[in-house]
Amino acid sequence: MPRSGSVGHLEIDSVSRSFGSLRAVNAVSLDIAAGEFIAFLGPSGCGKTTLLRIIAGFEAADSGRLTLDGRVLAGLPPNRRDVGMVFQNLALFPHLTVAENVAFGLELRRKGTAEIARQVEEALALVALDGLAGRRIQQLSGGQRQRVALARALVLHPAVLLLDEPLSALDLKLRRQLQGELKALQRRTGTTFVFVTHDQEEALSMADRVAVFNRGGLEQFDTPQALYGRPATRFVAEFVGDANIRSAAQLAPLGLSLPAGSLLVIRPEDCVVGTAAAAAPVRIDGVVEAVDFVGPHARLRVAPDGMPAGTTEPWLALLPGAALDGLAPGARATLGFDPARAAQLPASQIRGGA
Amino acid sequence: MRTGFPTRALAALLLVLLPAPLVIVIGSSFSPRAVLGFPPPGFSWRWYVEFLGTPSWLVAFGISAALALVSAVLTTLASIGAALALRRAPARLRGIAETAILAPLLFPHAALAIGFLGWLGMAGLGGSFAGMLIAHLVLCAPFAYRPVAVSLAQIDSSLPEAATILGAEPGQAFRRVVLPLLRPGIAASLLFGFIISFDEVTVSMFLVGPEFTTLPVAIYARLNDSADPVVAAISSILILLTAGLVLLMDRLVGLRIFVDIEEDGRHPSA
Repeated sequence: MPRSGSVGHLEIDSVSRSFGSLRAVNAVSLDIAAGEFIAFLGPSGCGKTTLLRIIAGFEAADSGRLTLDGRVLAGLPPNRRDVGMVFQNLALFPHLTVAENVAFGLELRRKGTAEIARQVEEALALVALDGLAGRRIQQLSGGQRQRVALARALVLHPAVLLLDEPLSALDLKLRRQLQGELKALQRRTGTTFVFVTHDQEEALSMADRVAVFNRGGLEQFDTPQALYGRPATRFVAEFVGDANIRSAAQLAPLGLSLPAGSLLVIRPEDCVVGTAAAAAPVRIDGVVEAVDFVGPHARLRVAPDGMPAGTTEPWLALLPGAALDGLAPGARATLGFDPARAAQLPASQIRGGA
Repeated sequence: MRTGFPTRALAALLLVLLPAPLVIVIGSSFSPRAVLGFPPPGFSWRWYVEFLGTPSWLVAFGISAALALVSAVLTTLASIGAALALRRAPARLRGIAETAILAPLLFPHAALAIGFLGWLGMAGLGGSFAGMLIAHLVLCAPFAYRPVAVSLAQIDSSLPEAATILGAEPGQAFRRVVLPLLRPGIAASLLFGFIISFDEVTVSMFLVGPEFTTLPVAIYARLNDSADPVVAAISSILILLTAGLVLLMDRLVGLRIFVDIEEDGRHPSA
């Protein structure tokens, strides 16, 4: 049930919010296009949920501007914003049935009984819950509750749907399944989704663009591929995926010269180990410290030679499982990589840190 | 773990002792003789007829019922207001306020009664319905506040938020989501308030006047000068009424709230 025209263009312009001396959201600007699937990604306490609650209207921004399709949101209470929300604990009404939960917002809009019944049925069909309309919330499984929460929000056709870690309570398998369904639902409805998560894999796999937050600030806002391939900050490089991050001083002995103060980000899957390393432009000799074999691939930690004990920063490599070829902890090995495939963080951009 | 013989014997004894007073009161109320005794030497409705035919008993009954009803409703309304206000209050303030509400539980009722007697007399409310009502409101407050506050604490704060973002004004969110979820607490609060007030003797005894008395005080006064079974008949009627009230509440809202008030499953377990 896509909405006519393009609605759901959300502009966030240098929005800040402090709690006491804590800057929960620090001058964040984001331009979210109508129909986009956006993920807010970051560790807990990074400000992503606070920003979501500011968009919903449950918190007020101290400064900055929020507009939805050109309408200024400041001063509008949550019930007048045309914004939907799926809460972290879902917040389904325990005293109402599935159908009554979904009908809640429609009844407040004073639609006719027949119209409400038709729309509830349509919304339940959309989330594949037809037949459960009369159930009580307590009788549903976790995944079914999830879908009721989605139907309850989507039946009102909000311009933007906010989702606050709605999958975090589910087990991994159900989570994967619902991630797929959620993404398909977003495509089908054309609604702008803003999805808060601390799970980088969830963010990368679902969103069109991901906003990475750290300590209240926006680190980077980009497509998943760009985020991973060209991290803008050290924080993003470390938070999104694994990375070998080396300074110019650490790389100089390997014959690589970088501008002073800049960093090189080498992804573990861009490293090769063993005989394959012979052809790599940059090679490091060392000892295999650890091997984690997980079937399709294996993670290796290689301690480079010539580093004083205690200061050794091991290299991470991700190899196809079949390429392990007898590499075991304690074995001598050569690790190689191609600096052309690595991302460089200029000195001026290095913020955050582990 | 198997329960040993002493434990089971104690449990059996308690099971006999708990209903024993009820059996004796109801039994002796049917006595045809003018002296309270058990077992009754015969069967007669005599004392029930006397109760229902004596205006002073009926007036006392009416006063107690009205007092209990008004006390229950007012303390419950006040408890809802207090619980809502204190939920958002700073923890220190909430602690102080809750202690004040629960204070009547901590003081001897005789001491409270003397206090009430003093200041209600000064206010010109001694021996009046209004004075008695004020005392009963204070005595009922601790019992009325707790069930409402516990019910409210179990309502996740995201529920009214969810109602709001679905389009509800704050008042609608309260009426359509918070209030229905508070229902068991409100029912318990009303029931406790009613029973505490209806049952109150110690404080009420100090506050009755020559023209104004409550049923429990009247029963007590009657026992002091003659032990005829009319008091047993009245007590039997009260037992019946209370049992009826509890059953009604159970049918309407369920009484699980009395049994395990902390674990009443009102949360949508996420």
